[in-house]
Amino acid sequence: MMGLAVLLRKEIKEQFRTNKVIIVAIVFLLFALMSPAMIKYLPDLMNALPETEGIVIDMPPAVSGDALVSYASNISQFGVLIAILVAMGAIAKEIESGTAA
Amino acid sequence: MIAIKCENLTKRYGAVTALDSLTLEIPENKIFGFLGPNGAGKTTTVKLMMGMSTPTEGRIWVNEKAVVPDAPEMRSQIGYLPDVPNFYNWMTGLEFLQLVGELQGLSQEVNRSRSFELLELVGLRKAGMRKIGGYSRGMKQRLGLAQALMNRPKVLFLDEPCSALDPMGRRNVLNLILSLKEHSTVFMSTHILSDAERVCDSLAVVDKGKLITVSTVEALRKRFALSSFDLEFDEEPAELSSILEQQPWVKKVEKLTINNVVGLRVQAGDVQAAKLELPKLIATQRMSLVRYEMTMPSLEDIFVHLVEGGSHS
Repeated sequence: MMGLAVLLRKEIKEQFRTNKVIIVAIVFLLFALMSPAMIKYLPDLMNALPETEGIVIDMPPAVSGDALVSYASNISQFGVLIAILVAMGAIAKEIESGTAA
Repeated sequence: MIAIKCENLTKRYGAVTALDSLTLEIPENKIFGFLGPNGAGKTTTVKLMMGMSTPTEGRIWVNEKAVVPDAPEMRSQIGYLPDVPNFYNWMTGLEFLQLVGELQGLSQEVNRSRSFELLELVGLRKAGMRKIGGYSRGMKQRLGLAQALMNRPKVLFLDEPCSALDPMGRRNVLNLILSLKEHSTVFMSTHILSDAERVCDSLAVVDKGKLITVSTVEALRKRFALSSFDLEFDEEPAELSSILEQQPWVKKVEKLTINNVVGLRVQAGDVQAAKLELPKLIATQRMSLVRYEMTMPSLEDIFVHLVEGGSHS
């Protein structure tokens, strides 16, 4: 399967050249920055909600581990989504332009 | 050796018959022109011959090996230039050729030198360092040709190789194709007759999926010789015209005016008799003959004749 290695290398090169790598990196970075902030301000956000009868929300104080857990769970969803989108784009373009044949 | 052979090749797309029992034999190291108007089945034929499409009926051999769909081992023997070549726009021309070389399993040094050699050959030496996205259609066509030659193929399929080229580019590519004849068989589909006339050893004419004729350019010309004579005189040829019309070997006499010079076009029913009698008649009329020409039909005339004839049947 030498052809596979060659084509895989071409595909990776394409991701770099067409700046798709930067876009992917930005998405990951954005989540990495947002997750800790979310965790930190979640109790305040909850308190800002109007008081409702019968519902009591008790937030434990945020610790650094919570931010990591939150980031990991976000990435496990969006990471998969990004991987699918990138692969989909690569295949769809080849088929549409006829270069896949 | 027979480079390409097909028997009863038929391809149907639903109710549409794109190609109807094509039988051809193309000897080695020849340039074979495959002529036809748009939609005649040229691209279909090329795809079938390369195993990129499965025939509905019939069989094909390339280099005396039966063509089966999706057989990668055949690809090392053939080169292909699609009618509209498509590339990765983010690559440079050089990178693209090297990718092709890598896919063909060339070693790095061979790949590199062969890429440069071909860029030079198709006149993209400088442009090869630029991104393909900025290439013109003609440059892409030439890069496509270079790509098809990477593996020094025994059989080369060119689908309308000159369709996007300017006159200079066309001449270069045609000369290039001519030079390939030493080592390769070229199967070239085209609708540009003057190109076919210049490079092809023999021709097939197709229309609506049917093969109309296979022959050399010369034989085609002879077969369709219009058997007409163009004459030009210093004097008004009215009298000669009426005499000619009474001759048994004359079919039709037409007045022909080119650049204000009056002439006659004589269509002969019996060419041999006309060749003998026509000069004699002119001499007895004491007319000063300026031009005497037996008109040879251009490939274009023949083509139009064949294709129109085919549509009536």
